[in-house]
Amino acid sequence: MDELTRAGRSASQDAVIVESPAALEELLTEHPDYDVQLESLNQWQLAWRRFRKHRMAIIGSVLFVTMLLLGTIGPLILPYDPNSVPDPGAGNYVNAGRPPMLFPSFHLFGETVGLQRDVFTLVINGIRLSLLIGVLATTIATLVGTLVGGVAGYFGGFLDTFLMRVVDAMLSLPLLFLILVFSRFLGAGSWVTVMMIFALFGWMGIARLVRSVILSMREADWVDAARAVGVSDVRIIYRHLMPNALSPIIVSASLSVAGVIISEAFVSFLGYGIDPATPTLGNVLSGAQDALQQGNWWWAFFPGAAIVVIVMGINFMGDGLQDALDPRAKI
Amino acid sequence: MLGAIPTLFICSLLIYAILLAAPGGPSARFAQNPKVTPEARQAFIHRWGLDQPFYVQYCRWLGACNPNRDGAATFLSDDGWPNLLPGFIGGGDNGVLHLDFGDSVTTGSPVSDAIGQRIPRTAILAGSALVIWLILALVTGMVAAVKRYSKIDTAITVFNYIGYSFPTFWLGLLLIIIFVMQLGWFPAGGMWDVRLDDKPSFYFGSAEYWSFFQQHPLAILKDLGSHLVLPVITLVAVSVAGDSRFVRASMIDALREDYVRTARAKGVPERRVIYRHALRNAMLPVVTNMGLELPFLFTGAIATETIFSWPGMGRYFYEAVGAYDYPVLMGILVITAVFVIGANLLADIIYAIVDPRISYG
Amino acid sequence: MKIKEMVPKLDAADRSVGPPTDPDVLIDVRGLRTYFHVMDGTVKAVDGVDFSLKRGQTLGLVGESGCGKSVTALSILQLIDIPPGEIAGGEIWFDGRDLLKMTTDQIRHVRGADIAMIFQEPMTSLNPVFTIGDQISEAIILHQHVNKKEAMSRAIEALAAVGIPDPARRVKQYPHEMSGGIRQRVMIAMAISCNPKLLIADEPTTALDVTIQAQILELIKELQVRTGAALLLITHDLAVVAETVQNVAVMYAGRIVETGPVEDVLLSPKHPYTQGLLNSIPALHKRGRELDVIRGVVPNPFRMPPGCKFEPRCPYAWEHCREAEPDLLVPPGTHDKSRCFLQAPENATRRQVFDRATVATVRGVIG
Repeated sequence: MDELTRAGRSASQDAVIVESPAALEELLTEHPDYDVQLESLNQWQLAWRRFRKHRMAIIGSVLFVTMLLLGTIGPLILPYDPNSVPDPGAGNYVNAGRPPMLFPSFHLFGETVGLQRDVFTLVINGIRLSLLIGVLATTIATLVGTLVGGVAGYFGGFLDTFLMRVVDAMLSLPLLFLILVFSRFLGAGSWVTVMMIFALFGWMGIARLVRSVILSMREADWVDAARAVGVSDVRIIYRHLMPNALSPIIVSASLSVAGVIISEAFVSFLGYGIDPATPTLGNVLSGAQDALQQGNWWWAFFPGAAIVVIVMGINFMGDGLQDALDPRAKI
Repeated sequence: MLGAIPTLFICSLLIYAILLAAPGGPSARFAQNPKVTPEARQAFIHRWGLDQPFYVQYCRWLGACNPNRDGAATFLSDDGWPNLLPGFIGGGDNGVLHLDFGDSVTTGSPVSDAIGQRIPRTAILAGSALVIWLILALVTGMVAAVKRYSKIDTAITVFNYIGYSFPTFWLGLLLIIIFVMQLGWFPAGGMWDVRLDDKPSFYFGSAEYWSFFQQHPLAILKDLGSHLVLPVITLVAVSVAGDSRFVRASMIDALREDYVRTARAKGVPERRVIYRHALRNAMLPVVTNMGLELPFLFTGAIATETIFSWPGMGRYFYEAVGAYDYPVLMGILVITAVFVIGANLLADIIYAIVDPRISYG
Repeated sequence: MKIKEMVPKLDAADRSVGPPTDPDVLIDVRGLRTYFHVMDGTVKAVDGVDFSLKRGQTLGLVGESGCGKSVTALSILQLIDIPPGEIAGGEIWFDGRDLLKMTTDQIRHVRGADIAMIFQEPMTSLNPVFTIGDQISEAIILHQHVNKKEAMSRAIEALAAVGIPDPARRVKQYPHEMSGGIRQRVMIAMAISCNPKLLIADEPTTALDVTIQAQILELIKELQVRTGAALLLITHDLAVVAETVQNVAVMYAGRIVETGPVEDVLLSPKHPYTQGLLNSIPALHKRGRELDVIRGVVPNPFRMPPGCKFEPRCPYAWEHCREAEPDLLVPPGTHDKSRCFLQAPENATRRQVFDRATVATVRGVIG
């Protein structure tokens, strides 16, 4: 049902909202004196309802939110400081201002070899940073891409051709190669710089998307219809163009976050990304590579598994978003 | 089709921008290398025009400008022809257009030689991967689409969703953990087993390798094969997962079209409906999509070659980044860009051949 | 790859009485029920449809969008998508066999050869990547077992038969190189290429220009007469029905509510729905008056009225109509059948009111 069905006695009674014809039947058999009203939902409310019912979207959201919580709250309650190096004589970790340790020398995910750091701590901190970089880089890239795509689509002409040639050229190069180079040369291991580099190379897809949406809308009949009725251009952009453009942008952006997280992990894994002093899921893995020979598989396993869980969550959510926001979808 | 040329041009500009991005510039690195004599350094600076404005540098790097001449005459080669023509016609011999990528900053030897040596190795890896990627993605996507809602479809879809979320390099690590360390089925890395022959010049493509190959072809092939399995799986798994989903969606769309209903109404057997009517149409967006995914095969190659110590171009790139070896980096980037643009062009052409609605020109 | 066979389920209540005894009857549809199982429930798109066609006869199936006429046609050839859809019951006797009990392999030989179908959208009903020659000869090769060259020349003949100029050149063209009208002719050529005994045309002119509509309808009629095939024409346009077919069946909410010879049904409708349809035809002499409409909307498929499905919108309904659903009743002295209690002998007084309105209606239509 595209509408909410409100059933209730008029005026004085609270309205009850039902969501399916069967539920309405039931309600009316109990309360035959109820009035039935149909309420139309707007596009976003509809999308939210579809999202809520989408099995994959729910699973994805649960995964993602869990990881989000782990990443934000986790580092605050962990007993170990990820950067701490054990005092050889003490037998446990130097406590860097954290709450009192509950389980000294207990390592849920095991220890690393060599510098003896707690893998669980590393993973939690890594989740935090990876998510942060992913979200920030994508946000900036989306803003830039929307601007570029919007300008290109709206103004057309030489500006459009030029911008699209640049986009094409950039998309022809294996971006990860360039990211590697820039990250190594300019990154200096700082996560802010690395994040900016990802933003720099991530806006092209969105730009193309926004441009095509705007182009298709310029030609669209319903835009002409709106103009013919006297709707001003600004209002058209705000009330008509934007909602239509937002849907694919949202879907694309959410999948982009996953892409950035994986790419950042890869770049850090190769050693050209973020300095290991600040753990991300990638640079934790790079240390793990050598430890494999010594039989330590958990160091390599858990950070990677964390990446998979995060990305899976995002992908599922993105799929759910795509289905939910599709205006042609039936309930 | 001609649109590829400005794209290539802009690509080369972007690649060249990397040089500008380098702190201190290439000569700084060179200057720190104690093995380099002052004359060699001077020759290097002269060759790349590092004492000239950047557009001259770019022009010389590209190969359209002759380093031996100045002013407007720089566009002409030593023989008086336009410098960008091939050398055997009378053009110049420097720069990208003449396949001259300079000398490696670390080894001092020509980059084009080193790349040339490594291209076949990556080609074997990427080539096998490409074939397997195509076959697997097509087959699984089609089976999932035709047997929609069945258990096979669910299994394939679940596998795709999970596989799509894996970072390629971590998959490689996992495979090593399971198949190399725990099970010992495959070798840990490299492209050949050095035990086969201990000669130092025994590398893939060398004379010794080929003579050894002629004597013991099966042993070499088996050896190569066992070294290929894990890297290829790593390289394609994620891409297959993504493309399989796409093929499935594309097939489902095609099967829903009106003309499929018409075909059935004509009495066409179901198998023919799927393979002849639906598949032809479903392939069109798939072809384009795979063309667009080609760059990812290269980026995947870096991870795979690094983890599995495969001595190809990807690993070479990784090492060059570490050593700030600009000529190598730029050389590899140019080759990759040409390859990707070429592959996209090919995809466009194939599309135009297959879809009668597209006409050329 | 084996495709699952689509075998319809038989209701326990259905027990077959065997094929029709009259040898002239070409196709006999009995109690066809096609349901769709969707997220919100089950849509009974076709719920108990009966009709039959003799050889060379023509029948028009008329109704609003969503009344189930297309689904009926698709069910005949088992072209319904089975996961959401389900042929829940009924028999379709054709040439001594029940089409609904056939396996995919068996019905494949009926499709295109004995029964051919023309679809509504010529733009999307032809495969864009094959020439029309390929597409037409495909059916010929499959059913008539001739080689490619022979099939191609028969295809050219078929194109000529539907009035396409220069057929030898056209045969090598692709669908996107042709206009909608020509494409529909191609579809018709494809349909008649194997000399079917029954031609089903599902809204063949709805997507075309008005001027082309007339041409295509004439073509279909002419071909039907020439080949002696029976014709099942599905449309929502009463005018089309009036010109083209001998008998008409009016469908509403998945059932046939009135059926009979076309002059009888259109000039003397026996069901309030048909009367309403005729009423709503705008005519020049009604200028200045408000247009008549059938008040209300088509019932929600998940909340069908308990008795007669038309009752909520019917101006003649009374309580009994809400309690029970009428069967197809035959008013005495006619060949019509109408699914309305008004036609029952005991409701003569009410029927008089209806009949008086009918006179006004028909006068309104004819002018």
